[in-house]
Amino acid sequence: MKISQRIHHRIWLKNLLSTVALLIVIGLLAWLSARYSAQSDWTANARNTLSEASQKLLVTMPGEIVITAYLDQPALKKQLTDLVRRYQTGKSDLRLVIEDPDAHPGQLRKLDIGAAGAILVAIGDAVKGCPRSANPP
Amino acid sequence: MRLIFTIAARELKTLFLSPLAWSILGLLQFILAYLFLTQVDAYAMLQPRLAALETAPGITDLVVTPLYGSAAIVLLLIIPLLTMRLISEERRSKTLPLLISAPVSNHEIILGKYLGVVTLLLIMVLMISVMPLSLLAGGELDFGKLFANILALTLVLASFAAIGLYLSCVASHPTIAAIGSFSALLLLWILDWTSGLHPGYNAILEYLSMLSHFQNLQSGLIASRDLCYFLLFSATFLLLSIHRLDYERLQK
Repeated sequence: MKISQRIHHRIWLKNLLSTVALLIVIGLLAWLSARYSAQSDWTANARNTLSEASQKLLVTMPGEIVITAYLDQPALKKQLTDLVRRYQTGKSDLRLVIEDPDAHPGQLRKLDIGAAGAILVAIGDAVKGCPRSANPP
Repeated sequence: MRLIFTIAARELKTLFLSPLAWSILGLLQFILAYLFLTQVDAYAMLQPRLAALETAPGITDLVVTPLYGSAAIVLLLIIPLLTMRLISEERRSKTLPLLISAPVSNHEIILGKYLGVVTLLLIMVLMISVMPLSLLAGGELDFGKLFANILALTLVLASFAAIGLYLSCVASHPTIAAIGSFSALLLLWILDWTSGLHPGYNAILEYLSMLSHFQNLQSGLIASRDLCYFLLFSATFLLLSIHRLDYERLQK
């Protein structure tokens, strides 16, 4: 069979469409896998999982818990996100908000937070803060 | 199915006939052994201070996890060199039409070549894993975490090989394939560096980044989300490679 210019063009179009379709299907599968994820802790003593006592306490806490962190170091943000993720598996309405201290100078002054930043935990109307020391040991 | 193994065996044999595979295996082991010994030294120095802590990180956290992390970065530089030849060398030496017209299907060619490289990578993972096991002579290991690290490294290397194979299918010259796959891997590795600046803002970039999935698995927390990411990643580039060969066969 002689492959004319038109057939060339048709093959190119078919190839493009099937590639796009493949990528859409993969994207959908990725979304599903991220949405419905199960996990298992392989470490000895399950170091990545909360202890049973903490899990029980977390369930008894009523309402939404919001943790607001005023941090500027990327490494600390990652550490905090990883730590909070353990609590989020036990309580779905626990939110973490990380704010850049430089972007909210007024808010920092109002809350009396120093340059090193702070982490505030809010349960309902009650707010408890743990300021970071400017010179950690 | 049998043809896939035949192609894989031939590919592996070609790798070991040239000095490339041998020199890579030797140099990799040398570099990682140096890093491993440095970590062990640092641990020995830290140990008295760690003994005073209640929940101190163990030898698995301080020696094994960094070793597998460094292995992934070193192999990120090496794997493009292994995968660059796979298809584009056949194209350059004009043997690709011969291979395509042989009584093997395109998916058998791609899977065979992929399996050949992955076998070499598995040999590397095995050789790296001997180092942490040697620590058993003087201490205890967290085997769960060690297996999580082996799994994480195997999956990440399989993904590296898949993207390298695809770029070898696309590129006309092996060097271009190597540069292309190196750049793509580096970009995927550092993709979530900006996520620290705007948390939650770029969830898609965070999902696409290989580093975060690799580190999650390394921590010993095996989540189906991270496993699926690596499996889907490898499957995508293998399917795209098969697709590319099909397209090439039709267009010529």
